Amino acid sequence: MTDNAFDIDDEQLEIRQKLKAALYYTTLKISNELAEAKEVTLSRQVVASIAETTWGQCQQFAEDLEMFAKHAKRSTINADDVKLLTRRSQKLHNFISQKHEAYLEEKQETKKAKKPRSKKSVSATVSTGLDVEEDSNMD
Amino acid sequence: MSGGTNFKEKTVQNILLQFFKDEKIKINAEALSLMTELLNIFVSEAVLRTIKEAKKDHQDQIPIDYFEKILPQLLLDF
Repeated sequence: MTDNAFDIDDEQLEIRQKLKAALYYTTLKISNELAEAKEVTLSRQVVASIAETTWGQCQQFAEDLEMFAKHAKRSTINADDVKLLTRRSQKLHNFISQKHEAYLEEKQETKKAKKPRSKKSVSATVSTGLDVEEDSNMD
Repeated sequence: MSGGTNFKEKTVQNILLQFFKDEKIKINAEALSLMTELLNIFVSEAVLRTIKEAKKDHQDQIPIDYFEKILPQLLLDF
C-alpha cells in the first residue's frame, strides 16, 4: 500500500528544504540591507512571510514558464517566456525587456572580445557607456 | 538593484527545475538571468512596500500586519 502523493522520496524533500533555506537566507540578507538603509527593523515574521511568499511565487512562475514553453512547442524556456510572465505590469515588462537587451549586448561584446578579428570596430565604442551602468546594476 | 545581495542564478535554476512537472523542460541562460532579476525585484518590492506602509504610521519596528496589507496588491503585480 504505497500512497504516491505522500511518497516524495526523502532525497527530493531534502533538496527542496535546502533550496528553501537558500531562498530564505537571501531574502533575509536583502531585507536587512533595505531595512538598514531605511532605518527600520523588520520583525522575523515579516521576513519569513516574504520568503514563504517568494517560494510560492516561484512555483507559480515555474508552472507558467513551463506552460508558455510547451505552448510554443519548445522544451527550453527562453527570454520571451519570461517577458510573457511579466505581462501584468507594464513597468516590470519594460524593465525586463531592457535587461534582456542589455544582456544580449553584453553577450555580443564578450563574443567580440573573444574574437577580435572583426573588421570594423567602429560601432563597438558607441554602446559601451550604457553597458557599464547596466553591469553594475546586475552585480 | 539596491544593495549588494542578489539571488544566485544556480539557486534560482534549481528552485525552478524542481517545480517543473515535466523533467525534460530546461531553461536557457538568458531566461535564467532574467528570472533571477525578477526574483530580486520581487523580494525588494515586498520589503520596500512593507516599509513604506509602516512609515505611514511612523513605525520603526515593523510587525507582520504591514506585510499583510501590501500582500494582495503585490501578488496582483507579479
